Amino acid sequence: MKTEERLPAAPPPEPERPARRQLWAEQLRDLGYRLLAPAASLIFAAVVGALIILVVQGSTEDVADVAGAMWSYGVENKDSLAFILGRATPLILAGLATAIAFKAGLFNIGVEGQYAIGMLTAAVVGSQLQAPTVIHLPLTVLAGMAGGLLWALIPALLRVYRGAHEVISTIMMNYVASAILLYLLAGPLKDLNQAGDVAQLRTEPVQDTARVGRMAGFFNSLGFDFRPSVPLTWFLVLALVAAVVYALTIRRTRFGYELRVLGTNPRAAEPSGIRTNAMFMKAMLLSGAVAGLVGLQEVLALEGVMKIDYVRGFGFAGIAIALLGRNSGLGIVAAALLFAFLDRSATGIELRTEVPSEVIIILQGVLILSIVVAFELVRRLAARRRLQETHERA
Amino acid sequence: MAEEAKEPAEPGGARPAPLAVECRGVTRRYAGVVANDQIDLEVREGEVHALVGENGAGKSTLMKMLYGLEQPDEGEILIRGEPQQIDSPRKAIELRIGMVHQHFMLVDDFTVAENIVLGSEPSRGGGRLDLEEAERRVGELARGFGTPLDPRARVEDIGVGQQQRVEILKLLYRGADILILDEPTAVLVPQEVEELFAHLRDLKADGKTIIFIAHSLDEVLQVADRITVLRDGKVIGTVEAADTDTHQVAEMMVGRPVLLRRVEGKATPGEPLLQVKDLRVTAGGKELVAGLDLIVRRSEIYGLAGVEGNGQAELVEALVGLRTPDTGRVYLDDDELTRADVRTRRQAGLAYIPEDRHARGMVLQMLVSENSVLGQHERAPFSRHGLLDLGAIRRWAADLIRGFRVKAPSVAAPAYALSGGNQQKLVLGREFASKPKLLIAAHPTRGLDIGATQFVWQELVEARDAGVAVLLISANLEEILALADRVGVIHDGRIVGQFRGSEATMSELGLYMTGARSGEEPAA
Repeated sequence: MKTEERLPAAPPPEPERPARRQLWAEQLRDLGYRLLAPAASLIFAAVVGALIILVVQGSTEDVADVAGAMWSYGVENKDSLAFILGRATPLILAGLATAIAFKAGLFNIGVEGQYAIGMLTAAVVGSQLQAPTVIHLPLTVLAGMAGGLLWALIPALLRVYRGAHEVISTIMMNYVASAILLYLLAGPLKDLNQAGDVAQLRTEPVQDTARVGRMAGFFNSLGFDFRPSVPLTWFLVLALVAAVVYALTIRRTRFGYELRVLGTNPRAAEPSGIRTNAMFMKAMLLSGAVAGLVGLQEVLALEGVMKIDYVRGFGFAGIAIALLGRNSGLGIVAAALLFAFLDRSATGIELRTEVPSEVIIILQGVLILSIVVAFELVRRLAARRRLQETHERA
Repeated sequence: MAEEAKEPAEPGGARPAPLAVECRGVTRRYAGVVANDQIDLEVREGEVHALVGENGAGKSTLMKMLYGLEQPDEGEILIRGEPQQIDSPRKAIELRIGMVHQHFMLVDDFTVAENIVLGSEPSRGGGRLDLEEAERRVGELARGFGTPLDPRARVEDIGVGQQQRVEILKLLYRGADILILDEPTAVLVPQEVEELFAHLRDLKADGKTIIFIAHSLDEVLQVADRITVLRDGKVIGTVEAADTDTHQVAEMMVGRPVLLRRVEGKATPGEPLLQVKDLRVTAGGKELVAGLDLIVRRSEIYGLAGVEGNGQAELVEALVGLRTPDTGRVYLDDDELTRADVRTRRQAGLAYIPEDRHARGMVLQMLVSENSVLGQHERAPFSRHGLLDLGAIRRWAADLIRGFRVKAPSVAAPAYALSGGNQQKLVLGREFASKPKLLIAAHPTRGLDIGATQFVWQELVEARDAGVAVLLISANLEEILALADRVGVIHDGRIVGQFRGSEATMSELGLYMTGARSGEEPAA
């Protein structure tokens, strides 16, 4: 898509030749710059991680142990890929949700609360409605999106009509979401027909007509050898399709164009006739709706219920992933895979070494910080080079 | 520097006063633009020296160099006869030079006294602030200059005029005796201007030297002893205020048409296309457009002349749809668009060349092709059913950069890869090419060189000949006189005079622009 776009459609007459060759060289260099930053920050984060282990544990053996565990558990183990892809699924969706808002210059810190509400609404529709799969499953997924959208609606309205900053209001909505969840799961929505002595705080199970299957069988038919129980579901396909749709929307639609103009130079958006408030509204609601998909893998495929100790933190990870992936569809998928790999490695470190697995969290943190710094450094480097060239040309 | 033997070397008795500030051949360049070109300036001790010129004439650059915010590339600056390297505002303060910026640098929720002593607070020992001492000193200082000012009032509670007084006292508190005031009257209402002038005369009587940057010539003549006029980064001349009048200064300011010829077209104006009736726009508590009536006809260039800050910017924003007017009506053709948003107006046939093209006319990080359809991106063939046709956009962009001689490496290059002038041409070309009914062009040639200017003029005339109604806002009278079929002069938010383009003269327009004459109702 990129390469095609860069070829001018109607090749202009002669003097353009050298210009275009120069452009190619420039683009190659830009690509180098773009890969330079993540690579440098990965290495930097690894070095810092090693130093931290050294300081905490005081032995070089532990560093080797951790590296060994990360390798054997994150890469070598035959089920690793399945775990990583399964974990990446909600991370991709959370990264996309954050990125949509980022593109419009909005900070949606509320993905965390939005996906929690989405899980709840999906669980209710999934467990309460009676319908054949073709109707029930889509409705349940839509219910999840609607839940997320609803939770983004209030901050969006506050921003557009009252000028309240969305960072504050989305954070507040996160707290409201967890309080409401606690109330509903302990009370009105609690499943009273549970087996066992201690009743958990959770909804009634989602019916089979709204369930989504696991993907191990499909992969095994391609020659993989995953245990059937690996947490890898068809939501992976949904997440990848969402990433592609996102990338196409940003590049190729009027909506994406206006989003980019608004996000990069809001002062130019208005004189161009872009309805900025409507765009803010759309971006925030779309972000919420995608956020509503984040937790559905757990509710509709892995657990079959919404429970009070659902997996938290995808929303915040999504911010890091969008940042790491530079808000591009491909970048987000890559960043989500990296995060999923680190999460998987954490389990290995936990099981196989004396080192606390929190090292991985530190590693993630260092990675985010260093990548932000690295991108800024590379951006300045590139800008300086360009300025020099412009001066030389002039 | 070789010509030291000019004025300053005259026998001591002939000189009215020693020089507080002297610039010799001061030159300052920005990325290829000469902002100050061999500036020679002499400011005598104890005088009020006004510096006037159009926007972009180089006044601010010169003042920034005196205050240490910028350094000259060439030439030297002498303060009280000594050559000085003013490399920071700190150095300027050491040299007892103080500057009041157009936008005040005050802490709103501090008191007057706290603001004034900020940075050199009287202390009680152990780092504790002696607030009483501060208030006492500030009170004394204020009384000394006949300023009734409550040291304990919070800055956000006092008026703009008083805030300005606080800024001046702040400089005096630090011992400044050369005061630079950057357009001090721009933020004031007329009574406050009177008070400021009285205050400046007091300061002068106390032996302070005042450099005063101004737009309004009436004001300058009221308060200044001498006036230096800058144009295009050069000093045009220094005159005694007593020996001159607005007429002469205006002519020095805007210059005479030397290089550019009036571009003749063949079209005759048709029926009214843009009609503005009794438009009023308030911003920041001031009525900036005050009941303005305006008609622009099909196939006509209407030149709106005026000194900056007389409501042009707000008028344009209201016409484009960026600002809601308080009252009045705006019609384009037969549609009332008073409260329509920008998209509706653009769809109705409006094209707009914003004054600040880099900030409001384009997105530098996006591609040349993407920028070439900004504002028209929603219409076919660029987008259909919400999908962009990237091929059509690229072809359009390629035509555009060829047609308007935009030097771009490719349409797929980011817009920031273009030079400033070419970025401008891209925006101008895009708006011309949108085939509008009405084109609003705000200072369309500002920042362009002579060649590009002539080209843009040609385009404006061709658009006019093709039936477009053009509203041309410009501070450059040469431009207005070269292009306009009719000229209106805006002053204080109203059209104060209207002329046929061929009959208007620069000096007459100058009189209306500065408010020296008004009232003559539309002649054309």
